[in-house]
Amino acid sequence: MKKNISTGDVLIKVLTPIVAVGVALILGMILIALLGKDVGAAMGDFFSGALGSTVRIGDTFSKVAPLTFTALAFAIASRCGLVNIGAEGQFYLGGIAAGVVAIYAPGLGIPAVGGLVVLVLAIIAGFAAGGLWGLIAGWLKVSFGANEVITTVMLNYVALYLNRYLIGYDGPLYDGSGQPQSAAFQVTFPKGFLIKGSDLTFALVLAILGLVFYYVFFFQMKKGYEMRVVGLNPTAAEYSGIKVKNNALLSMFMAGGFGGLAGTSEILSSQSRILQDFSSNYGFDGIAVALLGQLHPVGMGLSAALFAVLKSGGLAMGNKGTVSPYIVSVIQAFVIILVVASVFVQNEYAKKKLIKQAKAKKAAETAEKGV
Amino acid sequence: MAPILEMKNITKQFPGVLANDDVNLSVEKGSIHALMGENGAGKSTLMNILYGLYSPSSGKILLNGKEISIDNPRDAIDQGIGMVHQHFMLIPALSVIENVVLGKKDNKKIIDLKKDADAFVALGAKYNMKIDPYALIEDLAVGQQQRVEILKAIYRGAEILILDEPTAVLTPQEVTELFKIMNQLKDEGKTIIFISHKLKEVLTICDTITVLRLGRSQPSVPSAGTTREELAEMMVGRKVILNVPKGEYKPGENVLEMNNVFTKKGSGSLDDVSLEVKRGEILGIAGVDGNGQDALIDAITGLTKVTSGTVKIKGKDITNASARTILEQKVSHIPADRHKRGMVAPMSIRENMILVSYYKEPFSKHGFINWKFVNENSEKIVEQFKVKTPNIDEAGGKLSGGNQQKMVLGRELTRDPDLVIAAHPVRGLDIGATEYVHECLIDERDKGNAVLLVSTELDEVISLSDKIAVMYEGRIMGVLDKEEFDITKIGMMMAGHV
Repeated sequence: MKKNISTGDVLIKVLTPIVAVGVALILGMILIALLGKDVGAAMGDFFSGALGSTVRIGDTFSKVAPLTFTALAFAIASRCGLVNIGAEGQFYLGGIAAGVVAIYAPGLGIPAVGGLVVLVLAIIAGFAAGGLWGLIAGWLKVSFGANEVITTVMLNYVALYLNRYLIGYDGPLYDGSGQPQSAAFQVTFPKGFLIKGSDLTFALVLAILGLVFYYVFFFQMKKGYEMRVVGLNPTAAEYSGIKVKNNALLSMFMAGGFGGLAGTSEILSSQSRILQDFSSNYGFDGIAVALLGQLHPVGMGLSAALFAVLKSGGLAMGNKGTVSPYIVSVIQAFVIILVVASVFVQNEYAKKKLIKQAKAKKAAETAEKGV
Repeated sequence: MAPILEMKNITKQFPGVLANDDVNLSVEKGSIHALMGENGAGKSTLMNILYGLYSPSSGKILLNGKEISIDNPRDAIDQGIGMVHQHFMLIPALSVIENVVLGKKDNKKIIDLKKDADAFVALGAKYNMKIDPYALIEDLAVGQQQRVEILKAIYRGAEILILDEPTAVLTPQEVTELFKIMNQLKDEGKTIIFISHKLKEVLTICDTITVLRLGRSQPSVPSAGTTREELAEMMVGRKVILNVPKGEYKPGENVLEMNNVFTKKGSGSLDDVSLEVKRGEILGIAGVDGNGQDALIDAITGLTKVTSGTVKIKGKDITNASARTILEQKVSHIPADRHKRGMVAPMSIRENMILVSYYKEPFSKHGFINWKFVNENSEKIVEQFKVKTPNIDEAGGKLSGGNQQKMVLGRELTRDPDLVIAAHPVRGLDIGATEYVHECLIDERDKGNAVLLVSTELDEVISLSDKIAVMYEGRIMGVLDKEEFDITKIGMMMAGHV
């Protein structure tokens, strides 16, 4: 069977985001120059901070897992026609649940096995807690028609402040240290995975498995097919006997679950206790990662890596004090705007191609007639 | 006589589509000129160019021998060109006269409605049209609304009137009325361009016929001496069988039985409907659109709630069962709106082919879709039902309307149905595809399956059905046997007279 996709189509699809990112970086440099700072030094800090040594690369890539999971949280809902802006809140819920398991489970006589059982329990708890958080928005949607964009955004605040309460001075998880924080985790993901001395953990593998699951679920399994039908045409779903509401609920649970896994992987990889505001904007970055990756599993993995570089490079720039780390937020915004623009470029390309084909067809017909 | 209107070498290029390709149209003053063609042949594009909604890529328009440019509908109206769109451009909440003066160019700051109303009523009287200028549009029947539209165009000084598929929404009696008005307008020297794809109507009312095919105009022919078959051939480009032969009528036991069915009150809800469809039978549902046909289909297929009464399929009570349970009773449903229900436009053909069966073996197994089987099966259906596509990975939405319908038809008919529910199965299809769909439906009947056919095209219902049930305001006005098929009688029933 011949696929109806030319190499030109693929090339344009792959090239446009790359060009978009390149242009965004150039715009960022112009911005730094306009601020009167040393562009060369800033960029040097940026790249050496993000990718300067193998350990640094490992540190940078430790951010890939939470970014991938929050991207999945957006993408899974999106495939079912829902807009999940709530990954940030789901991140907190998942992180808290996993953290609680990591603090208290080892004291409950669970067999140690290098903490493996506890970690598995923490992952399950993180998924379930994030999933239930997502499910609230799903339930509000199917029962009362409440717009999920609004409810998920609101639930983000609820989650943020819930966490502040839990570890605050009156909270049940407060460790009494005088700082708003929980007791220390007894078990965490071991660092130095693949790269010795780096912050990289096994969570990266979990994230890749998450992407594989995403592909298999939506494109090989019948439940995923069902969900895509609901997302693309809910009335056709009803016609064929697919239960639209059940699918909406399940997709919000799964999306929330992956948001929860993001929190789990972050808290058990790079933190030793539950702290205040422990998500550094991962939930919202995930939306950009998913969109830049065009909801494609490989695309999302690559864009998660890109955002990890942007995040850790930005941090390095800020630490060195050459420029404000917020410049990187501006560059990220450039990336998003340019990627959106690149969609127009792709459409324009497709349109031009169609016109060319029509003209060629007409020319061929005229030639055939022999007039 | 010199032509009042000439459109010369009109070409209109849209991205990817050459909608009009060197089209020529010449219309005599005081004539009724038909513009025919299949869907997508370029009729609407050409008329929208004439009415100033599109500008042509090349070509020119001559009015009374003088070249004119029409940049917007206002220009067109100023030049004496009026258009009655298929979907009326009236504001339902306003009165007739308010609609008429709306956008009139000589309106003062303070509008003297009374003056316009008197003039409008007088104009109506000239054409034997009684019109209450202060009635709200929403209270008028469709036929009356159409008359308001026509009169409005004339009131604004139209000499050339474009009527876009004006009979699509009318009962046969209303069509007769419309034709009377058209003839009267013609006698007064007005010129009418009549857009239609109905062969019979065009031959009845028009003087000259221009056929568009694939964006190109065919040489005009006089309607006198032209036959339906010749016209069909001009439109399609090959010989067409207009009446599909059927096997002998041998009805078997009931497959579908509805007893005193009501659905939730609302416009187009069912009101005490009882019906039966037997094996080896096509039951046609005739009626003007919006008289409960949608609710009827939804009630049978589990897509709307039945508030009282029973629906049985092969003796099994399926009243208010889920859509899936009902489809599992070997029911195939070809929905009225294929974009809304029948297919998922962004999905590939192979994904569309499993829309109803994806959850069953052999389409899927242990929760996974069996793509190998699905692909082979889709290839088979595409071939059997002649769906024109480069491959089965093409998005369903990229196919032409006829091919989309063949895809839906192929999916539904290869599920080995006992009952086929076909709602407007040829709506928007060209003659060639229509012929094919009809053959398929008759084939199902001849195989001994039950077919419920809902259509607003009376000709289609009459030529395919073994029995006809006429619907009006959610009720069945009566069920007619073949020997009682009479267009006048059915027309009366469609209008609510028993």
